[in-house]
Amino acid sequence: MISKITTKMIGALAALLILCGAPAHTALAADGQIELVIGTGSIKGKIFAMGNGVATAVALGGKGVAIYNYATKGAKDNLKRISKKKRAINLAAVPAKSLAKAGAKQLKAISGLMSLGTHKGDTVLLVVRNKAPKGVSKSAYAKAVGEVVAVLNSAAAAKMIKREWSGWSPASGAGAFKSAGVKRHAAAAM
Amino acid sequence: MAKRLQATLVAGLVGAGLLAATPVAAETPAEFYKDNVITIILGAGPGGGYDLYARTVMSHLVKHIPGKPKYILQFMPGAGGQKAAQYVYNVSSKDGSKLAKLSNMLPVFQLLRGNVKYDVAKLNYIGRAASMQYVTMVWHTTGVKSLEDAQKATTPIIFGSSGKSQSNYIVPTVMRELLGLNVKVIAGYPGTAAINKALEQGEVTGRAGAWSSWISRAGHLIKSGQVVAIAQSGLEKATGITNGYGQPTPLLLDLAKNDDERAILKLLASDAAIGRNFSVPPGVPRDRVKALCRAFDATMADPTFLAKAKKRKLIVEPKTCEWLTKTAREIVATPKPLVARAKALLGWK
Repeated sequence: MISKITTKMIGALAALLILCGAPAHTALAADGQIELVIGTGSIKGKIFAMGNGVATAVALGGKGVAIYNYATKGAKDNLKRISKKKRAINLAAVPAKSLAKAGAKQLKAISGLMSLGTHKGDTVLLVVRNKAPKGVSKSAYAKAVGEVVAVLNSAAAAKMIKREWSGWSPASGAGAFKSAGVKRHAAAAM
Repeated sequence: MAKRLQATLVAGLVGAGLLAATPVAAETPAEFYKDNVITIILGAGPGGGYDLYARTVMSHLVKHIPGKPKYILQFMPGAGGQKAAQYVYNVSSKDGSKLAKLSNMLPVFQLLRGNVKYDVAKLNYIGRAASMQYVTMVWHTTGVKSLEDAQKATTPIIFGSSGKSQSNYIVPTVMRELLGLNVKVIAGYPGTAAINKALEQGEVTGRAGAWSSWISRAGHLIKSGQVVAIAQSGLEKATGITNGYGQPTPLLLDLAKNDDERAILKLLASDAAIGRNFSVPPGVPRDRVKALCRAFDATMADPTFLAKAKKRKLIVEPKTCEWLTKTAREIVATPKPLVARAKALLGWK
């Protein structure tokens, strides 16, 4: 009982610390680079490790864009966070089965980018939030997303990400997006 | 005498610790960091103060690190920042490519909660960007304009708090238990915004909060004189925070009646001093730690960084890695009986 209360108290503290003295900020770094956050999964899981590979590959090969990995509670949490009104993430790794169960509101907020590979027998898909981050124009956002897709389809990225996750096998994912009812992004992998 | 000896011992340990930490790596720091990617692990999610400080500091820090590496952020919220601390301390690589911006509450959790899988005294600190100075504010209708007024108050000042583990509980509780103020604490508010609302609605009459939070979230209440600062909590006194009479607000630490009380107040105010800190795990080659420390110092003096911080309304009160290491080790060295007293005072089990 006490440890349950303690965990709750510590959780509430985390939330407070996040809110403490935090003026709103844009997704633009000092050098004008667009910073995007990808929701992956638990720090013990393979999808989180894949997220580290993706972020590193984009840091080394991307121009004008950076990806930051967010250790979330998994697919459901990712879908919730990518369709939030405030403090939303921009990209999410979601297994096809979870995407098929997403609500209409969540599906409306996102577009499909590509499939990343197979994990536990399910295709892992990469989705992007339709709304551009605060302080970033629609065109700049679209360009940044296009750059991410280009980097992730490169051989250099594959080499880097496979070190973290052997399931990496990028493809268009068109069929999976279609059956989930998610429209594909203009920059989606062909 | 004993106190002086303790301070000398701690200083000696800090020096010895920094020098004898880990051998120098075969590669120079510049060779290691060139074409490398640094990951900074945050004990929080995106969009808050942790994120904002990390992005602002990192985008300039990498320019001062030999080899000019790239960087990425990794958000790892959970258990009040302890999840990230345990990961950084026990799992992440110890080559200097993993930096961390961890919770300022870790020393308090380590001493008062126990059973943690990290030791804040063994972290390799890189530096602190800002303190998290707590300021106690009271609502204007209480008639209290200074700490002296509060000490004479017959009607209790009711402080809103979001939980027993939080500074908005710790600070007023310390004021009541150690300084004898007529104070009540109502815990259970979901967060700062809710307490501020309760203040405006007359449900509570006081709140202790980070100065940066007061400025950014309730600056209008300060400007209009609806809330009045009466005290500060931290290890260093911030200038420019005045009470209702226009006099400088006192630091709670300075009101300790003896060395024991001072040690307890120091422990409970340590989160403010540790503040917005950056570190790498134990075991990182010492030449890389040194390179990161000096790069951090250079960043804090970099005019482009300072301009960016100002634009983003970020307070910058830097401290070196040596200062942070010494402070963390002094806090952890708090004698056990005093830790037990602090725990009892807060009603923590």
